[in-house]
Amino acid sequence: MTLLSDYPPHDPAVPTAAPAYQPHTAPHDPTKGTTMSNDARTRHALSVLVENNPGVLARVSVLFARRNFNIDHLVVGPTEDNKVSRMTIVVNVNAEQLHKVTNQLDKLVEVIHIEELEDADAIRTQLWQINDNGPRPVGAMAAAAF
Amino acid sequence: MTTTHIPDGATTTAPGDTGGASVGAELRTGAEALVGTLERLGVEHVFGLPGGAVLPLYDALYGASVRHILVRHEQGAGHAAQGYAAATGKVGVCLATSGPGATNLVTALADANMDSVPIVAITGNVASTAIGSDAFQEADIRSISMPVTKHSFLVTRPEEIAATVSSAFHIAATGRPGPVLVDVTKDALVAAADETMLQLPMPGYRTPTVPSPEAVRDAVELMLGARRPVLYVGGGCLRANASEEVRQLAELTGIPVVTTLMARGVFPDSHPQHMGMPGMHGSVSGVATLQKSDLIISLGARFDDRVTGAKDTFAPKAQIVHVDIDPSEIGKNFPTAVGVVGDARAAIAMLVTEWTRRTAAGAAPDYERWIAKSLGWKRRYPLGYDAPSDGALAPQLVIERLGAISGPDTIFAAGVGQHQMWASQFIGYDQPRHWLNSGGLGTMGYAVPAAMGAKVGRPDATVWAIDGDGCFQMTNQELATCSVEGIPIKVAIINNAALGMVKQWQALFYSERFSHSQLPSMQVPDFATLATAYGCVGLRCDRAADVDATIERAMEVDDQPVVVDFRVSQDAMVWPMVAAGTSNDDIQHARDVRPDFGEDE
Repeated sequence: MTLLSDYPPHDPAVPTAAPAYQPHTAPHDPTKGTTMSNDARTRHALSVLVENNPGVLARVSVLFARRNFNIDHLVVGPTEDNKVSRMTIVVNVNAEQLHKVTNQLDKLVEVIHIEELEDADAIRTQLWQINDNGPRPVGAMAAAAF
Repeated sequence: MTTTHIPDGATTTAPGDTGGASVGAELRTGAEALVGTLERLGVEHVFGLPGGAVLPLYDALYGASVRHILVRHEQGAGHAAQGYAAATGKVGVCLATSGPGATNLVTALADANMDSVPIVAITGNVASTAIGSDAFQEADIRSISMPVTKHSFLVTRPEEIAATVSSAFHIAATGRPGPVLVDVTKDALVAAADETMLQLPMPGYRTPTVPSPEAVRDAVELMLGARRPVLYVGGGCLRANASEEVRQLAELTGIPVVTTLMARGVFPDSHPQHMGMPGMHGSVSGVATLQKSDLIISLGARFDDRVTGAKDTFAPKAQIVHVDIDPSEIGKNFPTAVGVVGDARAAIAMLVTEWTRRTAAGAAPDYERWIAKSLGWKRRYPLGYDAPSDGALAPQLVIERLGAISGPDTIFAAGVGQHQMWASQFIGYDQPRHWLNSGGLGTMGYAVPAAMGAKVGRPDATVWAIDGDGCFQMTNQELATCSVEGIPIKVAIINNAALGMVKQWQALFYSERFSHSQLPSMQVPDFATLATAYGCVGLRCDRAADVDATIERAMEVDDQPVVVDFRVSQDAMVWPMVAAGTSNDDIQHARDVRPDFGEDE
């Protein structure tokens, strides 16, 4: 049997955590009304209380995809009320986009409450530590991803 | 730890008059509970098509007081529900079985979502025990419909059916209206249903808030300070039944008005302050009034790309006051100076009050020069059309005569394309809910089923579908429904043997390389014969001299649907036009004719 790549892989280059965020200093573009302009993106952590219904994770992620926003990290867990779950979503957006995405999230019938958590970078670092413990990515996708 | 609080107006119980418990009677099945809920909510008409998964529901519908109209394709049911809702203001209801039945509804759901039409779609699904097994006719319609509905439910427990259906109606009709899908598994329809729960809690669903007085004050402040304001009236004013308030605000302030494609009829076309429709095929005065303004007062409109043209050059000197029921619309496309969140009707009434208060206190805005300028554009660049060079019938003439002969109380439903634009341009709309079309999604095939739905909802009104030959062939099977169910709509096919709008773009932007936009013959199918086959009256007209007589003949038939095949020129184009991706400043009044807007102030 021929393996596409050796398994387990030899000593992969360990991906390091992405460098701390550096704000873009792109020339100011006065273009009005773009959804995904790159200026002054920062990391934001949203704590979102949702109804604990089947499909609610799909609904939230469909919304992000539909509105052309990217999720950096996403954690879902229970709360002390078994009818309610909490999602912690880390996004890398500018202030205007954050406003737009929370407005859109707030429209979802199953989203009960949204608040922004302080110190998104610390939350992201901890999430990275959990997320970085799995198997190393192998092959072409990994090369593209890192 | 909190830095941002989203205002939390959530209710623990959904409002409405359906609270409380029902009297303990013998348990009904889930299907009977569903039909009973429809009856309790006052639903009179349902458009649908049965199938395996909804057989229990159809059994319960047998003999129920709700009138079920059997369509020939589920997409027709969806558009009919839209037409019904748009013409009456009530929630439209459509019904389909699982799998393909449900997926056939998706276009109509997406259409209703884009145009904020309140409809409820009820679909059956396979038994909850079979879900996930790739059972026969299984489709995950709850997930499929997520990005194209306001909300979607999957109900697997019989005791939740009644509550979910009434909550679906509540969601569809309140706030910014929209489509809601309720997918019910077959086992839930069959099982005995405890109907004590009448509404879902929905703690996250927010009902509209009252507009903030501070925002209204700031909006009026900007209006008083502006030199070149414009009222940009959108479909939200239609859904909110705010046409009387719009008129009051316009007449009180004297500010010029433009109405979008979705809002045609909200403000009378015949009103002197009406500058026309803005956008890609709007009138020159409508486009210019918006483009040259220094304050846009947007009332239930959403700055669609077809209105704004190239975004970076849209109304460069304008500030924006944005009134919308949906907070996420404010600032979505353009930075907004003042956002007023609330129902258009309430918000406009508050603007009127505040304006009256301020002007009584001595504020005296001066718009004279601006109004004169707008009126000048309106006078200098009226809508018009040339006689076709090939000597054939002008499609604009047909539509103009249709509007003139059928009278002001006629409801028009249009498909999508050239005929839709001509129908918006050459018919004067003086009342709301008399113009139905697919504005946001642009669904070809909308006209016939939407006209059917409108006629069911408004049986005393004359309903004309103005359709293209391309559009007509997407949904004309509903003519069979109209014939059999006694829904005498009238259909005018603007038959140019081409996908006209595609052909127009190919003529203008693709060096007349008409790739797959011309249909080989006007004879296939012969629409008049096809109409006869469907049990309708079929008429044909290809000469200008016969247009009036043909329309009058069609108007005389009132017990049968009528289809008129107007064979028109293949070369007619829609003008004025702002080409896609270009600035509103570059509007062409006719081909290669650019209007002169005069000096900017």
